[in-house]
Amino acid sequence: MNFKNPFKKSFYYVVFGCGRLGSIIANELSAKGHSVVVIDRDENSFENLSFDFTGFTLVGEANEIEQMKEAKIEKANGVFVLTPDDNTNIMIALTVKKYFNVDNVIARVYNPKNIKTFAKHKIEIVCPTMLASNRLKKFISKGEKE
Amino acid sequence: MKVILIGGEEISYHLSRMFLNRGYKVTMVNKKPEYCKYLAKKLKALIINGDGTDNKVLEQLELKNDDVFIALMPRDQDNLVACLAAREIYKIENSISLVNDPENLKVFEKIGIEKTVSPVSIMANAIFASSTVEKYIKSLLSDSSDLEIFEIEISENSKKANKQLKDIEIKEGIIGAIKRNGSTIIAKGDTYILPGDKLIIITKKEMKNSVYNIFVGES
Repeated sequence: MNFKNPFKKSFYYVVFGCGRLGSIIANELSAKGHSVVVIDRDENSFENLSFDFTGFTLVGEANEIEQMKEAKIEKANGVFVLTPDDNTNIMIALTVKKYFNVDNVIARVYNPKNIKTFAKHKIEIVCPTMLASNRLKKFISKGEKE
Repeated sequence: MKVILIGGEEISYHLSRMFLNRGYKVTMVNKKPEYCKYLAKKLKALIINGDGTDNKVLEQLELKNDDVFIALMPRDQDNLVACLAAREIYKIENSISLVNDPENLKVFEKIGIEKTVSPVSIMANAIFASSTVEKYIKSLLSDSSDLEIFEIEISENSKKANKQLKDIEIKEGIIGAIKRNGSTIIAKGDTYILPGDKLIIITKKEMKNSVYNIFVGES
């Protein structure tokens, strides 16, 4: 995904899930001057957003089509899928890509085995388990060299 | 070929019984340990306790590409992921998914899971279909309409009892059906009218009395 913004043009982003990761991303997008809609089923999760967050929040089941239509997802320049449930994220990402024809989608998956499913459908993923394990493996090999 | 049933309680139990009775090998996967024990006691199927969207569980199923894979979990996203894994990792051609939210039918289709069953759509269609017919009949029978549908019971003494329909001349009306012993017979020319029959007659409002007299008057 290209998040550089050389022309200071404002883009429209949708973020699914407003937990620790979702709120950081939503705050970052808002701080950069983009339009943001954050969707979460739990109203309290929006407390994670910073005081100067200027985007919109929507309470609802993230994987419902109605909810996505309400968020005007078809107009999004980019979509972040960051709910805590892998299967929900897979379905949201595939719906956004195949049903709403929005190509710029990135999703978080915890289970590295789910990466195959995403790769097949050309959806970008970020896997915290893989990131952490790669970092830790480097730590191991560093120890072995010393 | 074997039948794989992923999740679901009542539906998967009854489907399993049906497939077993027809001689198929059935494997069932369920998240709830207690329900698995119950299934194992009641059915001659292979029961696996686990999450049907977890690749480790799917590996245990020893899936072959001619197996029938049926996803019946309560969350659509789980059914989608299970069917995708079955198709893409295990090359299963025949997978069928339960879809709870009818809006998701379009999503499943776009993603390429073509065989879906939506109980909500089926139920809704049944309800709408019956209410449309009712509305149609009501509009036919409204005050502004000159159509009349009514029922006549044939007594022993009716002059038309034990006669064939083709021998009965009704101007401006037809006998649509006959209710006899709790079932309905679609009326044809060679159908006999028997005492105790109830005739369903369609006619014009102003002709109702004259049609009525044809049947009720004694011979």
